[in-house]
Amino acid sequence: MFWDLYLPIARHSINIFVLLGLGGVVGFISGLFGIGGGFLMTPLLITAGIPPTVAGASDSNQIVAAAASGAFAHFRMGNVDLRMGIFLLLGNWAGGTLGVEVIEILRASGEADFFIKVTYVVMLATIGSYMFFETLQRLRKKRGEIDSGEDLGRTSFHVRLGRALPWQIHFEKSGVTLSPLLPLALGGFVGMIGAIMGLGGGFIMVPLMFYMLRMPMHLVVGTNLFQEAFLCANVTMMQAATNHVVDLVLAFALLVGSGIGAQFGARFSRRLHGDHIRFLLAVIVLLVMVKMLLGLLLPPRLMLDMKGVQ
Amino acid sequence: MRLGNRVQPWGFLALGILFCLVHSSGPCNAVETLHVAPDAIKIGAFFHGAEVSVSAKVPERCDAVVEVTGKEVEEDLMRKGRRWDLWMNVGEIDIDGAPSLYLVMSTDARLLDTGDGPWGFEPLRKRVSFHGKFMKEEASKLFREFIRLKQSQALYGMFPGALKLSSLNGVGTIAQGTFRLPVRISPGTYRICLSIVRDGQIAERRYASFDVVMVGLPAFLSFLASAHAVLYGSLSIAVAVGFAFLSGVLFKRGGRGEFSEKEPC
Repeated sequence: MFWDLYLPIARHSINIFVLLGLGGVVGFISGLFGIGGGFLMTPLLITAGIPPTVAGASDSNQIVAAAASGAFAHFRMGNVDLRMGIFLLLGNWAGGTLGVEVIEILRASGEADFFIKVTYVVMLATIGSYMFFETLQRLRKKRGEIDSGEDLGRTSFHVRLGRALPWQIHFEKSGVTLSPLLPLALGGFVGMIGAIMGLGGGFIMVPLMFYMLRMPMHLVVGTNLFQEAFLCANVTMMQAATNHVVDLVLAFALLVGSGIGAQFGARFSRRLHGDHIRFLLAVIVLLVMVKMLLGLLLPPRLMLDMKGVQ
Repeated sequence: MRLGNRVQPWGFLALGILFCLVHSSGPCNAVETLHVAPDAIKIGAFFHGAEVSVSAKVPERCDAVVEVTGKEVEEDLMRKGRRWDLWMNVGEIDIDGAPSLYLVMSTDARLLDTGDGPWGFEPLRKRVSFHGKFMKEEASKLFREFIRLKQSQALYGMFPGALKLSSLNGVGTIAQGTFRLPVRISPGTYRICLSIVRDGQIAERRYASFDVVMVGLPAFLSFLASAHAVLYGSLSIAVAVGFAFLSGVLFKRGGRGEFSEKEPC
């Protein structure tokens, strides 16, 4: 039992190799798909017995490492559009602040949980299905020739909207010309959803960046990791300062695993085509959606639970 | 000298009889101690729960019950229910007066199984109060669910018959048992109560306690997180960013690269 590590804030102990393994797997996924991985890690930690509030806050802390490590690796490969990332980040912060207010109103009405869960499932199902079928179609049609969303419905509504908005800027790295209001609005939307659901929202942001902002997939991955590192640093600080629920021992064990895993994930992503990455991400998003749906349909084991369990 | 030699054995005999009278097992209300080992549990970096042994000399033909109780705390829980045929959290339930830890074991399983005695979960029902949106008739169900939740966390437990009686070579009986303290246990003082039961009535109660203290790195981090939260938050971020860059430097060998725009390798 020497390898059981005591987590002083979570008041729990877990085998250190389990934590390193969990961190490694989620970090790999993070580096590969450009997402923080909170939607995978937090439920896994809760299943392992970590109190939900500590699991979420400590996971944010480890995402800082995974996202920064992944962003660093992608930056070296030239896969980060800093300009776009900053606009997304600003929008995300504003949206996050608004989301906190929205959740307070919903909680006061007593319908917060219903709203959050149903929105979550619908959103995962919509994004996952669209990404799944669209990527499958592309893979069947012409494998590997196109890696950006630029060819997808050039005259679709959001493309026209993006071009109609004022202050058109050319984002050289991404090779797109659009109004910064679009990334600001997208960042705001994801930030609000993320705050309501208690997640970073990377798995929503990545498809939106590809389909709405028309960024090449390799830049989507690197740029999202860049902005997610800052977002999660902010969440970590707020959770530590106000709720005292960040477990540094837990986060450290996870981030050692995820920091290394993210490097391998970023390297492995070079071996995959953008369509394959999106296809795999779509499968993961749909699996998470199915898990959440089952949680809504099947009766729970206990009718009372610790506060913070969704 | 001769007188002295003759008196000394009688003196020792008298002292011996007096000692036996004082310490004899005798009736159930005899004064005895309750031994707890260890009397302090340290939560260190590799703590994964601990065992506490309890032993006490008990009179002949008596049963015993040992309870370990933590201080009363307020708990905020979420209640599950159905909305539009979907299971989810439907409201907060605040619970007052419930001990943070409640473990009980007995020599005779029937003492706990019947639920009629002053031990076990049923008597807790009177001490615990629920607050929140629920109907009065739901209180029993909530209490049962609360106990199930605590049992799943190993913070509450009943162990009928787990306290063993053994003979002390004809000079009395000793009751012995070992409690497994869960890893979730909070630092603080825990009370142990031994009830000696004769013919279904409590003949005597003895009390002892043990402390649970956090030491070393867990104690330092716990203190930092609560007393210097901003410093703790900054340290958490610094550690994360520092490790990210360290791993980045270690993996730098990979050099520049691009996503494959063609077929995957």
